[in-house]
Formats: sequence, structure tokens, C-alpha cells
Amino acid sequence: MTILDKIIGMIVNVNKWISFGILVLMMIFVGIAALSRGLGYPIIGDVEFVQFGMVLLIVGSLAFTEDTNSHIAIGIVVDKFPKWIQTVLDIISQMLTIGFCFVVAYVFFIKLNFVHASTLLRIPFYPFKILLIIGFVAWALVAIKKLIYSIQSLKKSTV
Amino acid sequence: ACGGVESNTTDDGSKVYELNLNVSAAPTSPFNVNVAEPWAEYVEKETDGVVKVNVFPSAALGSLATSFDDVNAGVYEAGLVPPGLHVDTDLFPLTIADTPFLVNSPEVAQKVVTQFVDQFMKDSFVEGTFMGVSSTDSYQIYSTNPIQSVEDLNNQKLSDSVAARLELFKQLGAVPVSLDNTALYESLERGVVDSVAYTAVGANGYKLSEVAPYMTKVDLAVSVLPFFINTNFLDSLPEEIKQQFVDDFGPKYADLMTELYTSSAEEGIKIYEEAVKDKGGAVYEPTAEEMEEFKAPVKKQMENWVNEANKRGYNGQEMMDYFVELLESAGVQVPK
Amino acid sequence: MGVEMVGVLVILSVFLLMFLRVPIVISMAIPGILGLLYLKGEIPLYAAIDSVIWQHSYHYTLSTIPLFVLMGQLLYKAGFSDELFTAFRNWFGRLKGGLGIATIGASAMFASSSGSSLATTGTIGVVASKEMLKAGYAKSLTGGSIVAGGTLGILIPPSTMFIIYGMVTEQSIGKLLIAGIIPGILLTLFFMATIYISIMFNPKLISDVQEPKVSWKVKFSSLKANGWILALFTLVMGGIYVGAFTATEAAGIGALGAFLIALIRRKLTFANFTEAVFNTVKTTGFIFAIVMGAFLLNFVLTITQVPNLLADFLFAKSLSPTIIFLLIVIMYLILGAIMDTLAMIVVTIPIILPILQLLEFDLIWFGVIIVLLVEMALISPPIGMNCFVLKGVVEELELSDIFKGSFLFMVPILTLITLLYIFPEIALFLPNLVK
Ligand code: NA
Ligand code: NA
Repeated sequence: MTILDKIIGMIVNVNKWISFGILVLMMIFVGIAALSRGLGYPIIGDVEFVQFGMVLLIVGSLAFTEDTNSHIAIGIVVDKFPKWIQTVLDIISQMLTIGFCFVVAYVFFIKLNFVHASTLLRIPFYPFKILLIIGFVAWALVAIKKLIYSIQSLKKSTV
Repeated sequence: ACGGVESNTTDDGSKVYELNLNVSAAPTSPFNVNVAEPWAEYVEKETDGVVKVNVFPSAALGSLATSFDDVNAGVYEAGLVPPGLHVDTDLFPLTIADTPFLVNSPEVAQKVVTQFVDQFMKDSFVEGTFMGVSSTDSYQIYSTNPIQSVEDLNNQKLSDSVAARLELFKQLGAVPVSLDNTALYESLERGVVDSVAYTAVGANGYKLSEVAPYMTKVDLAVSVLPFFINTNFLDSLPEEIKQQFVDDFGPKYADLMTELYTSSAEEGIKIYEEAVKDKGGAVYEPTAEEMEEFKAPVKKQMENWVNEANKRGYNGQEMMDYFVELLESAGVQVPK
Repeated sequence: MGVEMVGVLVILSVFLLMFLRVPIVISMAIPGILGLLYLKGEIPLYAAIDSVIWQHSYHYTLSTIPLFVLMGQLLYKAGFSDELFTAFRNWFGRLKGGLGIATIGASAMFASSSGSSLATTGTIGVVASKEMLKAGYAKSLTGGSIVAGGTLGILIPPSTMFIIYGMVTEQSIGKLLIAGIIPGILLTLFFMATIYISIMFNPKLISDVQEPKVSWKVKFSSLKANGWILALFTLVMGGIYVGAFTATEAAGIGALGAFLIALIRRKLTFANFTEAVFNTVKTTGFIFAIVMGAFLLNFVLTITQVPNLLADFLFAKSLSPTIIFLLIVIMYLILGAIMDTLAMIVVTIPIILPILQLLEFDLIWFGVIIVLLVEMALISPPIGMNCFVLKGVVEELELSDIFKGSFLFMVPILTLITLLYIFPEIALFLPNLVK
């Protein structure tokens, strides 16, 4: 368990620092691109750079968001239920999340093609799609970690 | 529908086939009113209600950029698939029509591209079936400063969505920018670009006259619009109705488009001219010599296309030669 | 099973899952995926997932969201929220309900640098609740003022809601943001008036304790934080307004500007900075997850013809535009009570868009209406995200107190919606002036 924890923790960490770097870069790049255009020197392909940046930012954010429980859920009803029912519902949630992530990762995997590229810069899409697969798998891994905790706590409370 | 959805029946008890048609234009747009809706009615009438067409305007079922994949997969049954947005697919040979200054009207597009597909692409399409083709009206340049000659294009930020034309602008000394159509107005307004290439009908739709008082009538090219239907859907139809689709309904969709864009092209330019007149703007038609300059890189572009086609494993030269032959027999003067 | 029946089942499962505390994105995605699988089969499902997820990741306009969120986060880390509240307190504290009015003012000011209502509620909530409760304000009024003030976060630009709405309706984000300015100022004043008037009717809402007098010198020197924010706001929105840059560029410049301001004020440690960025990443994560889930759900709802049924129903009765508008407002009041607002926008706008286009409603104007309806949704029970956020940061306020207090503030929002219907210029005057 602790090894799994560590590995998943490391993956989340890598993801969140990728997002960190990309967001800071995007802030600087968009600012500079706007200035440069204003001064009469538009950066060719600036739009595509930002688009690819967004993909990376989202890739990095998914697992981190799950890990910090930041995906929005509505607890107003369930919060009042007995603890063990809450845990059962959490387990269902986590299984659905894992299912969703793997479906998306699977779809991107089977639909992966190595030809598609952006219009202007002709940057191929596939490396970014592979990263999206990794992002969704990382999200699933975090959910798996939570699932294991939920099952353990359920066992403890029923013993 | 593969999922065991209970199907409805017509009054006399025959099975009803539902066809979802994805349309990128708004519900009130001329395209929806004059092409999609009348076609839907026509198909339903001619099949005595056996085929029911559901029109989904505003690209409700998906954007044009993924339309080839979507029709092939059966996300919806029918829609337009612009080759310019599908350069990296089996539609590649059709990007030949994006070469600037070759195809200049929907009528020419319908005639020439149909024959081109017959010659080279009959077996290219499996999951989706090619049903017919037309095009938009011609692309013109809309700008914040008057553009009368190639010199005026120098260092101008110019937007287009098709790779071939972006390449042309680069060769003419402009700085090409690739924008989403919906960003055209704002980008002109904000000076993100100085000019955009677009159809007159589309330019009026986005009210570009408010932000770009000059139009240069160069008839750059049209956007070819092939019409595809999901093959599984066609195969699921009774043989007789399937034949109706191939012989009649497919070409009908193309005819309706050609009709719409031919009649609205000239009108569109007039509307633009009216709209910009008060603001000191104008529509400029370059002289023959000026046009020669605009067209100068075309020969090179045709070669580029041939090379690109060869690289992708097609016989580029043979395709280009035949295409030129078709164009000339359709009365188009191809730059030598 | 008929196609429409599938649509109804899908919608019911979405709500069921949502109320079982399943994350919103999953609550929408799973029924969406199953519905598509049932109606269309495996291959179309894969194509739909592929295009929905890719198209909404590889997206230029949506990059505006993380950049604007980052701008607010950086200013928050630069320590502005306390100072904003203190400034408004110095100026308005001695009025009846002065601390409530100060809360609204500080919220409005923070809103002009933050794109999110939840962030505005959370940041202003911590300081405002402490001071208001200490001064003997009723819990309901305290909670109500904070969550209402927080809703200004999405009306006064920048605003994630306008960006999402603009993406879905393909309207100019710049114009939408500018359209929010005048209604935002009006609603700020309406909220302030609401507090003042409610205290006139029920003086027990506040205690008799009088705020100490503040010298003019202190009053003016406390305006510094406001000055910084107004300067940045003027740069960002002014830049959009005069056409110097696009909304996305403005967001980049805003974030960069906030970064510099925090640096200049020596409030930016590396720890602060990373925290601001990580908070932004988390926000980006949940926003985009919901957007993707909602678009997957949309696919099913669209092919099940739910939108067409709705449109047919409305038009078959040949109702007048005013009645249809009223029905739309009522629909959003109901949905807003029980749904996450972001999901609500992404799922419902494509459904009613054809109706709006046929009625020839101005879509910029309607965007302002929608944002006001979302504001109501944020403070209406049972699902009122602003109230949840406030409860989350301030233990001693009970949800029941907050919701009780927030009811009052729906009156000014509904008033503004009515005014906007009669005088659309309130929203359209500024954007129409743009060049
Ligand atoms: Na705001
Ligand atoms: Na609500």
C-alpha cells in the first residue's frame, strides 16, 4: 500500500509541476505575444502554441484535482447519512470515476493516429494525445488509491 | 441504430429510418432555410415518410473539423466534410480544389470535383459514402486598409483557415494567421489581423463590413463541400430507397447548395459594397495585370500540391493533369 | 424503448448520481456514455468521446479561463481582500448596515479582478464574516451579504461564466465581458440598497454598536488596494474596450500584471506564488472536467431530440416572446436550485440556442441575463454553491442561516433582470459603443 501511495504521489507531483510550468509559461507567452503583435511583429502560430499549452495544462490538472478532492460534488444529502453508507457511496463514485477515466484513455488509445497535425505549424497531435491518455490514467490511479482506502475503512467499521 | 432502439413505423406500417443531418449554420441562416430544411422535406416526401430527416443546426452534433470521423463512425448519419479541415485523412486528394485561383464557383466545383472523385476516389471511402459535392461562393479579401495590388499585402496579417491559401499569402509577402471563423470579426476589430479571406456570404453573416471597410475581389478559391452519408445507414435501407439516395437525394443536396451560393454570391458582394460605402470603404476589382501578380505563385503551388500528394503515396501529377483538364473543359483559365 | 424515453432516463440518472455525491463530471459523463452506447453503439460513442475531449482541450478561447483565474489568485495572495474590506469599512462603516455595505463593496472590487464567484465568496467571506459577526450583525444578514456579494464575481468582468457562455454561443467574449460592467455596478448598488432597506424594516438585524469615527487621512490612505485593482481592471478591460487586445490576450496581461503588482508590493514569496498557481490548476481541472462531462451529456440529449421537443412545445402554442422569455427564466430558476451552474450553462444553452435565434434575442444581452440567473442559482437552496463555499470557510455560520439571508438578495437580481428586459441598453450600451 505504501509503495502504491508513493508511486501515485509521485505521478501526481510530476503532473502538477507540469501544469505549474505550463501555466506560468502561458501567462508570459500570451502577454509577450500580445505586446509583440501590438508593436507590429505578430508571432506566427501563437494561437496554436496556446492551444497545445491548454492540452498540457489540462493533462496535468486532472489527477491533481482528484488528489485534492477538488472535483465538485454535491454532498448536501449524503453528508447526513450514516458513515458506512457514505463510504459505500464513495466506493461507487470512485468506481465510476475509474471506469470513466479508463474508457476515455482506451478511446484515445484505439483512435490514436500518427498523421493528424495542426493547420499552421504542422505540429503532430499524437504526442499530446498520448499525454492525454497518461493524464486520464493518472486520474484513475488516484481514484484507485482512494477506492482502496474506502474499502479498508469500510472493513474496519464493519468488523 | 445499433442499440435495439424501438423504431417507429409509417401509417401503412413500414419501418421508419431516422437520418440525423448535422448542419453547421444557424437555424435562421440561408443554408438551413434554403438547403437543409427543403432537402429534409424532399427526402421525406419522396420516400413516403420511410426516411425521416432530423436537421440539427448550429453544429449541434459536432464541429466541421471532426465531421469526417463523425459521419464514418455514425455519430450522425449525414453532413458536409470540408477537405481543407481533413488534410490528414483519405480526403486529401480533394484538397487539390483548395489550390488558389483554380475552382472559382460552386457550379465548377460541383462539375469538376464530382468527376475527379469518380476517376480517383471511388474506392477511397468505405465507412462514409460520397453523395455529391458543391462549394461556397468565392473567397475574397476583406481588409482594414485598401488592398489593390500584391505590394499592399506586404507584412499584412492575413487570416484564412485553409493551408494552401495560407501558403499563397506567405509567398505574396503577407503574414498568415490561422483563425477560427467565429474569431474573424473580433480579430479584425482588434487588429489581431489586418485582413481576412472569406466568402461574401459568410462575410455578411459575420458583419465584417463593420470592421473591414475594404473588399478586394480576387476570387481566391471556393471551399469545396462534399456531402457524405454513413455507409452502414445506407446499407440498412431498402434497396430501392438506397438507390434513390445515390441517384437523387445526394445530388439534390449538392444542387441546392450550388443554387444557394451561386445566387447569393453576387448579391453578397453588393450588400457588402452598400454597407461600407458610407464609411468611405469600397469593393475593389483588381486589373488584369494586378490579378496576374496575385496569381503568380499558383504554378508553384500546383507543384507543391503534386509533391505533397506524391509524398502521401498518390500519383500527384496524374491527378493534377486530370484536374486541369476537367477545369479547362469547364471553361476555367488555368495559369500556365 | 423510445428515443425520448432514453433522454428522460439519462436526465434522471444524472440527477440521481449528483445527489449521491458522485462528482458532477462523472454524474454527467456516465449516463451520457451509456445513453450514447445504447442509442448509437460502440463506434459512434468512441468518435464522440474523442472529439468532445480533444476539441475542448485543444482550445484557444478557453485558455482565457485559467489566466483570469490566476489573476484573481495572485491578487488574493498579494493580500488584497483584507485591505479592500477595511477601505470600504472606513468609508461606509457608520451607515446603517455599513459593514454589510462594505462587504458588498469589497466583493465588487475583488470581482473586478477575479473571474469566479466561488473565489470571491471564499476570499471576502473570511474577513467579512469575522467583522460582521463581531459587530453583532445577524447571522442571516452576514451570510446573505457575503454570498450575494460573491455572486458579483461572474457579473463584473472578468468572468468564467461569460467565457463559457461565449464559447457555447460563439459570441465575442470581449463584448460579453464589457456587457457585464454596467449591470455589475447596478447590482452592487441594488445589493447595498437591499441591506439598507431591510435594516429599516427590521432593525434587529444589526446591533446598536456604533462604528468608530475614521479620519479622512485614514480613509484616503486605505484606498491604496482599490487603486491597484482599479488600475489593473482599467488596463485589462480598457484594453479590450479600445480594441488593443483580445479577451485571451487581456487575460494573459491581467495575470502578468497581477504577478507584477504582487511583486512590487513585496507580498509574493515563492510559496505564495506556487500556491496561487496550484489553486488555479485545481480550478482549471474541475472546470474543464465539468465542461467535458457536460458536452458528452449534450450529445445524448441532442440526439434524443429533447431540445426539439422543447422548441416545438414553445412554438406550437405560438406564445409571445415575453412569455417564452418568462418560461426560460422560470426554467433556470428551477434548474438553478438543483444543479451545478457551470454544468447548467453547458447543457442547457445549446438546447435553447435555436429558440433564442428564432426569437432574434440579442445573444450578448441574453448572456447577461443568463449570468444573473446563474447568480440566483448560486445562492438558492438546496444546491447553492456560494453558500456551500461560505459554510466551508466559516464554521460558525449554519447553512440554514446563509440560505435564509440569501433569499432577500434574489429580489434585487430579479429586479435587474426585469429592468434588462425592458431596457436592454443597460447591458448593450457599452459593448455597442466598442468601436
Ligand atoms: Na469578475
Ligand atoms: Na441553487
